[in-house]
Formats: sequence, structure tokens, C-alpha cells
Amino acid sequence: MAAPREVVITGIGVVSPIGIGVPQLLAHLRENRSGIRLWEAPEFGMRLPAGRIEQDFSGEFTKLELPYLDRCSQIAVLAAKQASDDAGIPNYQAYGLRAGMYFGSVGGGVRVEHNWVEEFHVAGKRAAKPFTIMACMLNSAASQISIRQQILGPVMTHSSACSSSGAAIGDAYRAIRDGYLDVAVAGGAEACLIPTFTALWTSLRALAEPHLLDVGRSCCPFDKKRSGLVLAEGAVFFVLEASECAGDRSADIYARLSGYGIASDGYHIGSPKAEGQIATMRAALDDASLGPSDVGYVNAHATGTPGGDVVEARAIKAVFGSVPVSSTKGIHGHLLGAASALELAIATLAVNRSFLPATAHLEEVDPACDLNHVARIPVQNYPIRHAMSLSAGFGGTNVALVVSEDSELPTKSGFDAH
Amino acid sequence: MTDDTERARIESMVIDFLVERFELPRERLTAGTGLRDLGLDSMIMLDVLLDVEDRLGVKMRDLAMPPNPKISDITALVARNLAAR
Repeated sequence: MAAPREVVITGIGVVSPIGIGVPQLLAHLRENRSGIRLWEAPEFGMRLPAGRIEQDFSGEFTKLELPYLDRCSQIAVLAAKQASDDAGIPNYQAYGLRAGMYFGSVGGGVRVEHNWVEEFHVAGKRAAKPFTIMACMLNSAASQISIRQQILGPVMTHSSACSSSGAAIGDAYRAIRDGYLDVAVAGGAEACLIPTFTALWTSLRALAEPHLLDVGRSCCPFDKKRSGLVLAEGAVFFVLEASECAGDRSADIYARLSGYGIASDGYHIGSPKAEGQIATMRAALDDASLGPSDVGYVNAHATGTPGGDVVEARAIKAVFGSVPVSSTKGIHGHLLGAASALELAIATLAVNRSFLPATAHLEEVDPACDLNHVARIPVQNYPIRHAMSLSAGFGGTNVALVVSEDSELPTKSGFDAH
Repeated sequence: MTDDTERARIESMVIDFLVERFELPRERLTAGTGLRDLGLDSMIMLDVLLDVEDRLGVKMRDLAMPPNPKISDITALVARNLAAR
């Protein structure tokens, strides 16, 4: 068997509540600027904080394209294109079967699907439009990206709830590392801010109430006053490449993707277990040939729910002791199937730009979440050689990814407004 | 109404419909225009026919079209179904 190859990140595309494109994302992180806004749907009695992107992207597509494109696919296509342009590979045809697409999502085209259900039950329609199934199937976005960018190898869709895009990225990384692929576009997308999907969460009592004075402060991971998670939407993709391929075309890189761990709790469909998360993080460290003390920053999954944050804090403490930790969900909310991808992008920028992103609004740490918190204010000029992003999904599938600085290839710069 | 007049009426309706729904440039739409050249795939085509059904208030039993159909083929299909009522 050939020696494992190194995998590098040569492109990132972001469509998120805290920025469209890497420079905007970075600016939000450096200033800890919240993208959480009030979302009101009075006809359904809904008034919630949400990580909404207040932009209609349908104008980016023709009327012949739109019937096939749920908002989820629209933002996925745009973010994947951004990542590919960033990497300098707008089209993957020349790679043939050695280019792959790995996509993660929870809801996929849920907006189109729920609209159809309403037409069926309320309007009495008995036949959907011929393209409706193409727009709402879970692999729709992955396929649209493959068709548009000519990704002709595996086109895979992962769904493991909140770790979906992390598992997609991890499997893409393995395929390149083990020699099956030279390049992959990997990430996730979610666009589920519709009343019927949101109402699935209401009875769980897991959603945060709007902050009385500033809705942007509604999500408070690890804080004593946290009241729940904030649902969000967005799409984030990476271009991952074998280091030798990136070197051959003199590409700049953000960082090296150096480790992937995936493990399951085998415990409960909706409650996390620290042991599963511990096994995941240790597997990722082993994969990266690192010890806990090598890691300079952990981007936690911490969604801001009373129970989940405590379990995760226990797991992080067991693995790392006192590593700097933050949950950036305080400013972007929970992107569900795209959460891992956004948070890996944040960990990547932390390594690339040498700063520690903070947990926003963390004023009074819950003693049950005792960690080395980066609270409220990001720490600038803080070199990080290795960072980890952890995600834990309903159903019990956990993913940890490690990014590392790389001294072999030139590092991307020039995208930082500061 | 002669067959030719009826066909012209249907063709005009089809072209109006395609322009309105997909914002296609009217000058590109003639009887000989290939639907694939306009970017209409088989599923969009099927939906167009279903909308034409609604518009005319008829159920078209015969949906057979040649490969790479032209606008004239939709016109012929609609005319055929109307005649068979």
C-alpha cells in the first residue's frame, strides 16, 4: 500500500449568517460580530432568533434552473463555486474520476418538500411538478455542483445530523490521503428556516428565546444563562487536494487537514454521551499523530443547550485538560448539516491568521462547563499550529477534524481586511 | 377555424407561455426552435405540457414527442389532442 498522502486546503467558500466569502467571515470573527437576527412568522406564532442570511439568491439563477434548486442547493452551488474559484479550479473535468464531491446536510431541499406537502393536503393537488423530487432529494445540491463543475468521481451525500458535513469532509480527506482521489470539493449546506421545520424543534424546548435587549446575543454557549440553540442557515465548502497536486500547480494553501476522527455514542437518539465524543477526539489526534498538548485551539460544538454543553465540556476536559476552547455558535447559530463545515473553516482561519475566536456573550461560565474558555473577546496574534473542530449529531455520530499549519507550501494571505 | 389558423393560435400561445414563464427572448422562439437549445429538458417540457393542459382545460392523453422536439412539435401535439376530444 502506498504511503498516505498529505491533504491541504486550497479553497474555501462561505455563504453564512456571518459573511459571504472568507474576508467577511474573518471580519465577523475578529470583531465577534453576531449574525443572529429576529425571525418573525406571526401567522404561525413564531418569534425566534435565527442565523438568517437576509439575501434572496434566486436572482443568481435563470428561471429554467430555479425549478430544480431549493434555497439549500442555491447556496451550496454558490459556496462551492466560491471555494473552487478560490482554489483556482473552476472546472474539474481534467481530473476525471480522481475528483470527488462530498456533501453533508440534514434537510436538503426541505423547503420545496414541505411546500409540496402543503399543496397536497391543503390545495388538494395529487401530482407534484415533475422536477419537485429533483429539487428536494437530499443529494440534489451535491449533484448540482457535480454537474456544474464537472466533478466526475464519487458524488456522495452524508447525513448524520449536526456532524453531516464533518463526516463528508472527513471521508473526502481519507479518499485523497489514501490515494483514491487527487482533489475533492467537500462541505455542507442547510436552508431549513421555514416554520414547519422550525416547529419540529419547538417541543424539544431546545431553542433559545430572543434576548430582550439585543437579539444578536440570544445564543450563549457555556454561559449560566444559556437557554438553547439558535437555528441558522448557510453553506460552506472546501477544496481539498493532495499536497503534491497543489504543489504541482503552485497553489497557495490555507492549512493542512491533518486528522479525522469519527465515533458514535451508541447511547440515545437525542442525548449525547461524553465517552463517544472523547473517543472521537482521540481518534482524530491519533490520525494526525498528535498529542493533546500539541493542539492550540478547539472549536467546540456547544450549541447553547443546558444539557449538551455540559456533556461536551466534560469530554473536552477529559481529552485536553486546559486547551483554549470556544464555541462560535454565539454569533452564527447552529447550521445543522453545515455546522461542521463552517466551524472547520473558522478553525482553519484561526491557524492561518493566528488568532483565537471567542465564545460570544460568555459572561458567567456555568461551573459545570469549566474549561479554558476564550470568552467574549477574540485573542489576536496568537499563533496556533494545530486546531480541532468537534461536532456531535443527534443519533450519536461525532466527528472531529484537525487542521495544522504547513511549512511546505505557500500560505494564502491577502484576504484579511485587518 | 381552419387547421392553419388553429395551429397559429396554439403556437402563439405556447410561445407566449415560454416567454412569460422562463423569460426567454421572444425573437429566439420560432416554430423551428429546438427546445433543448432553449435549455428546456424533458422534465421542464413535461411541466410545460401540464400547464398547457390547465390553460386549455383539457387532459392530453397523447404526450408522445420526437427526440429533440421543436416548438412546432408541441404545437402539433396540442392540436392532435384537441382534435381527439
